[in-house]
Amino acid sequence: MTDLDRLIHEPARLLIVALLNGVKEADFLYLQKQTGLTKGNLSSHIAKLEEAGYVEVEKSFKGKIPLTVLRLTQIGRDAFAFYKESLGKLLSVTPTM
Amino acid sequence: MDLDAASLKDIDRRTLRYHTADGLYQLMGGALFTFLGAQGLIVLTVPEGPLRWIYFILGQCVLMLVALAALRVVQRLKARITYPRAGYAGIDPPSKARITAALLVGLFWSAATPWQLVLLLRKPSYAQLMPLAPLMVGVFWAVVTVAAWVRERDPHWLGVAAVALASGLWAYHLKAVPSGMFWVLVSMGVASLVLGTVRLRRFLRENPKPAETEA
Repeated sequence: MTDLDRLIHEPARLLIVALLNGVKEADFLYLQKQTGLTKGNLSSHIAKLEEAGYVEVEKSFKGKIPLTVLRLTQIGRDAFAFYKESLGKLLSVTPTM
Repeated sequence: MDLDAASLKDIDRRTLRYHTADGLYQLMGGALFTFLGAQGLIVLTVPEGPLRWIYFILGQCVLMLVALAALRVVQRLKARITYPRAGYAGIDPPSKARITAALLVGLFWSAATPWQLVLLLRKPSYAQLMPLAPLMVGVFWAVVTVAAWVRERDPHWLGVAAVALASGLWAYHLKAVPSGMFWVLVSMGVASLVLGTVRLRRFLRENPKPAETEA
């Protein structure tokens, strides 16, 4: 368990990172629809990922509507790749019931 | 919300499915296939001779231009219909290696097609294979669409594959050569148009346009 990145391991953040890993960039609405999280919950998870340097947040306006576009940084992509590798290794050594 | 290695794999597929969930790409693909098939059928009504090939080649050029324009139209429609309802997710641009490979395949295909036609016209032994052509076209597109289904797990592809195979078999049974090949394309195009329309209606029903808040 020590190898697993605790920041990514939390299910909601893992889902956010996994979703962002599959795209170049995504907006807040896309993540909200795909994760099913509330706005507040999603914002707080994004803030933690941004603080760690895993996610880049770009805020702008489209007309009068605020638009938040998110991207996984290279650090975030590397961390996610390492997390998947660690999880795979962990699962391969865990005996099945 | 519980995630494991298997559901992580499914997230990649979910991202792929998101891009086709609104049915717009199916509608575009359907229109292009219908256009390609119909163009072939129209060319067959032109009397044999150089004029027929000129029409055919001109039709291919028009199709390429229409395809490029259609991609832009779909992007605009997505910005108006899809993104305000389901959010925006940008696809990673294809790598240079992928673009080069696609260009090489396109060039090979463009160069090979006239030679195949010349061979078919000059060698009677090749001409004997002609009745198989619609079936081969149907099987080819069925394999391509099943491969797309394996990648995306999107049932739309299975529907198109079934239509491609069924129309290929039907054209082979009727010995409709060469029109059968074009009918296969028209059938696939119409199937894709129908499935795309159903999908777009479902997408609009399931994703009503939200009030103008943050996106």
